[in-house]
Amino acid sequence: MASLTCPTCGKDNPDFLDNCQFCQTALRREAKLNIGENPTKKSTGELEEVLPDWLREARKQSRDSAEEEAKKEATKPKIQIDEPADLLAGLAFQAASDEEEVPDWLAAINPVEKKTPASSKSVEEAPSDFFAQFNQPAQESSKAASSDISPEISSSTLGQGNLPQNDELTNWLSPNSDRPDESFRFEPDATPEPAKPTEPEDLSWLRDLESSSKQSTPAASSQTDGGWMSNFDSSAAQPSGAQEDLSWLNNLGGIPASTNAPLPPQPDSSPDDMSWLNNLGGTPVSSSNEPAPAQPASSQEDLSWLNNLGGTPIPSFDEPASAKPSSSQEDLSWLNNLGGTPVSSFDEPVSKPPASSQEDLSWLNNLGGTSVSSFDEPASAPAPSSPEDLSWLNNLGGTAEPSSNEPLPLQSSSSQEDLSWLNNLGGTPAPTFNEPTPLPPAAPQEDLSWLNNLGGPSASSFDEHASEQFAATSKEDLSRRFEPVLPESSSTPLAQPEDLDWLKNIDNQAGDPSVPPGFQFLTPRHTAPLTPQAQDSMPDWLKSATEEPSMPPLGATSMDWFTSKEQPPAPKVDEIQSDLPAPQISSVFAPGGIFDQSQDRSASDDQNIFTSAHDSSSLSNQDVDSLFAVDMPDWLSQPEPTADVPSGQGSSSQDLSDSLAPVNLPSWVQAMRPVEAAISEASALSPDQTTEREGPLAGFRGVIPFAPIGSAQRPKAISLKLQASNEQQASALLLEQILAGETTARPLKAASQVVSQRALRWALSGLFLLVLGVMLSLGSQMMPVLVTSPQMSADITNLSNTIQSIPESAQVLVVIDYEPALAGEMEAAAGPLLDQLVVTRKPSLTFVSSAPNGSALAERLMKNTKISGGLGYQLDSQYFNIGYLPGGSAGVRGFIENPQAIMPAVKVSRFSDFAAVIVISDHAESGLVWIEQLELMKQSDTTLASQPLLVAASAQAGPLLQPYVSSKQVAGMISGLSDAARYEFMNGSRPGLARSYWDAFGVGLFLAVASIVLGSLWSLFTGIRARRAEAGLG
Amino acid sequence: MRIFTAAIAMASGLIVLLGYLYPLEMLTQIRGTLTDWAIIIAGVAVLVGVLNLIFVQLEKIRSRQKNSIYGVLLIVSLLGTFGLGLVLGPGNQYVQLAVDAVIVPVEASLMAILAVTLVYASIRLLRRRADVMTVIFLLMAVIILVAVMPTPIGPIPGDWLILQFAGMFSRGGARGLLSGIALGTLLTSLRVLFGIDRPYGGN
Repeated sequence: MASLTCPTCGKDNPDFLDNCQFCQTALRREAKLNIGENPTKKSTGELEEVLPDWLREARKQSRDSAEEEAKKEATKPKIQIDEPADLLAGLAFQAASDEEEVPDWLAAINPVEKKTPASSKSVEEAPSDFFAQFNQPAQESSKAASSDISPEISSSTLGQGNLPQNDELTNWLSPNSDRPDESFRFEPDATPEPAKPTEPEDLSWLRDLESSSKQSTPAASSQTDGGWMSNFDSSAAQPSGAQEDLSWLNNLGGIPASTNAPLPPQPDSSPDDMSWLNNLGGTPVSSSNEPAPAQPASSQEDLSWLNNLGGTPIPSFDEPASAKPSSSQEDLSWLNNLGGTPVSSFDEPVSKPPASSQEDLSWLNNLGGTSVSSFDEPASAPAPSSPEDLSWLNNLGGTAEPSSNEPLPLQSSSSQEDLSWLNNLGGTPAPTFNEPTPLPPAAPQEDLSWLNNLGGPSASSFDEHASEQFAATSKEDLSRRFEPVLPESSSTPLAQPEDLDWLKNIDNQAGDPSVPPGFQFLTPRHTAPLTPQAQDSMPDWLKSATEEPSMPPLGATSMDWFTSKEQPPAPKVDEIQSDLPAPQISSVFAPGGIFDQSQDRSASDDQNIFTSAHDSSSLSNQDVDSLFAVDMPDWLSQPEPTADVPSGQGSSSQDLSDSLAPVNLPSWVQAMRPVEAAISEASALSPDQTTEREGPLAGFRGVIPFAPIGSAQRPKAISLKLQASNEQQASALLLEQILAGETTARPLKAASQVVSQRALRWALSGLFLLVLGVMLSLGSQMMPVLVTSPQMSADITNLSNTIQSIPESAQVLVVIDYEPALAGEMEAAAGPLLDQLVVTRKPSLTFVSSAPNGSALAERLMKNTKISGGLGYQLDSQYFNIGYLPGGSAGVRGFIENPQAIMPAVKVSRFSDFAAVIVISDHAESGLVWIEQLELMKQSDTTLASQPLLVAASAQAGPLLQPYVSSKQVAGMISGLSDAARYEFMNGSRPGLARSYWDAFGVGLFLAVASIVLGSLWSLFTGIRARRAEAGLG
Repeated sequence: MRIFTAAIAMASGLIVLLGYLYPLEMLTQIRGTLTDWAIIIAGVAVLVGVLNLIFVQLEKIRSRQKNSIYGVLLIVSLLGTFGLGLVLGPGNQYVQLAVDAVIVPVEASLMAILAVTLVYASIRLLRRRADVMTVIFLLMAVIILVAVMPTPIGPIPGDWLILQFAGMFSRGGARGLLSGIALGTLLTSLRVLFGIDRPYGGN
């Protein structure tokens, strides 16, 4: 048998038990939850053991796999997917990826263009001359600026993304010259591909991007997925490549090396950074070539995409890497077309291969929506190519590009020219381009200045009047203006003064002394409004580029940008206007044109394509804004503040915040504003009103009126105390007492009662046993048996007479119908009757019983009454014991009707053969049955009329059978021991049972009476006392 | 099924009743037959009761309920006595010994406890409820006991009067009870005959 161990005592118990048999503790506790108890929370880890093996293994495997995945995720470099506008992030991946999805607008430009590794490689090999001149001065500037530029703006973004995808960019920027009609298809998600050998343009800047992207390959891969803009973001994750990546930004405007002076020297990257700029203008840029040797192919590849920006085939980017000047020229040539004017400026001879550059850059001419026929000029020499390269820049400003036809006197000048066009991109005033652009020691400022003019408010100065002025300008002046800003080391003194003026303007406009040197801002610049024709032909994506970006350039502090945005641009349109033909100028600067500064577009519009040279990233953002921004957020499309590069690296947002008007702040900037600033402003505005300092209204002034509304008096204080009367308080107190009484447990009184009851019972039992035992053992017969009543005497006499009337040796039926419990009384009661019958009439007795124990009791009766022994009656001779008669009244009825049918052992055939019937019963029901059935039979059978019915009953059944005696249905009845004793006394005290019980019977009754009387009195007294006590307590 | 059983019960009762009222030979024979069947069923019912007792005690023993050991003792005693009676006969002295030595003393002892309990209850009756009826009840009980009680000096004077007086009330009360019993029996029988009450499981 199973056993359970008790948790309390530790003993074994059978399992069928709920509680311990020793200490009564619950054996099974696990599933017990009593009512009112809160279930205990269990840790699932605790239940691990009860799980099946297969489940545990599955859980373990899942945990292991999760851990492995977590480790892998941790080891993976962070991939910034949801980066804000890193506008040029995807540019580097265009050439390499075959899986890039080219937006439709970009596909329209050059749909055939597909980045291939070969083309990208070729692009890297031959940077254009235009950008070459940026390489050298941009080396140092890139070094200085790379550390300043924020990761997002860092050229590492471009470098990372672009370097592996130089081929893509190359291909993008330099489509086959044989396919001039193919629209450009920009694939920002294109994976890096090897450079095409047919694109020799210098794309050093792109190589930088590529190299940086290689350093963070996962980032680059994700960036490809995220688009061309994501490439910029990935580069931000690797500051090590930032310098390289930033360098290309320097090359945007031909930034001199001073802009990158703070940066650590990275000779390998800076040429590449500058090289792409060389390619932008399509002019040979020696500076851009200098840092290029390390990665010539990449620069070509990187720049090639620029050729394709205009949507025209740019064969210039097919040049080998060696011919960097030519590639730069070629690259830059397209920029000439950015202004949307017919690019006829590119008459300058372009060095080998000129055709490709013209083809590559020709699309740029069409950026402004104008027919690009500018790439007719042969690129004979780097120097003469620069004018061609620069010419397109002139077109960027929406002006005719006569300057593009102007031969660039020098290489350096060409670089400056290359850069100068950039000034017009942002709508910088033309006069800046007329100025010689010397390479100032503060080259970063100068380099960036033109960038400032690109997207700065200065573009707003361009109007029709300015367009007329542009018409008067000479081509040469424009060529000078478009010279890229060279870095300090590589700039040519001759061309720099003139060409860098526009850069200066950019610097001035950007002008933030807080800006650290070398810090490059992405400052959008407004250019001259486009001509209507240019406007109409301008693609949508380029139209958006004409608008000011709402987002500050990458790397630029938000405040700086906003500050520069607020500052009115310096009107320097005269120079540009004088050089450009009026219609072209007007078209460029016409409303809706690329360089339409009069339009203060929404944040989603990009006004400028190229950023200032101060911040290469800003230029890239502008480019991206103009090219790709369709639905730009407010913060992204906001015009960039004027970059102030030489002020220092740590730009202070405080200075900018002071100059910013809260109204113009974008939402994201406003959310960044500290509460204190808001409070201070509010306090400054209305000193009379209180400013909320806590809660949701913190910073607001005058929201809650200072003075109470309505009555100026303080409202009367109302007491919160309940005004209750004494009666109410008493009632409440009473209620509390009642409630308290309900919760208090009442003491139990059962223990005392149980003890007293048990003691009384034991006492009574002991008393009766003792007394009666003594009496019985003594056999005392001192109590006389007297017949005091005549009635009693008559009844006894009558019974005796009935027995005497029974014939001798007759059959007498004796019915035993009592329980063994009353056998003593019944034997005592029936004994004298049977003894007299047997002694006087010697009948044949037939014993039948209506109870199962009757037959045995009959034997006992015969023995105890000494009939069987003393009188010699033998079983089955003188008396017969036929056994149990079942069926109750039906059985009696049946026996009476046919005794032998019911009881075959009966010796009579009919019931009437019995001379008498003696019923010995201890309960009235069985006696009633015999009496009633016999009476009914006597009515039908007259022979039964003389058959007497005698009854020997107990004292409890006698009263109920007395009516039958009174009605003469029963001939005689002996009821109880008292009657038996008197009948026995009359019978000569035979058998003597009644007499033996008489004395004990008397004593017992006496004890009972005494106990009842005394006990009742005592109970009465104690009950009254207890009730009085309860009443007193209640 | 319910209607069938009710029909049988009603028919049987009516036949027996009619047989008592109209002593027709056919009715008498049918009544006799039904009566014999009732007697047989009643005799078998006793055996069924004994078997049921055995099964209940066996289940209690199998499920190992509390005090199941007494069930074991009961079954053993029952089977032993039954076997002895079958083998030796009910008149055998050994079988008679079981009755004389066990059954009668045990039941007599229980009856004696009843006597003590009645005395105890009488003693505490006034403590629980002290009212007129309680006093009258106790007074009458004491009077009768005193009247019946034998004394060393013989019966008390006036015991006959007391007994007559008591007998008068007892006889009257008894008759009332008997009449009530008869009427109740008649009504119950009629309800069974009419199918209103179905003690045989028809409901």
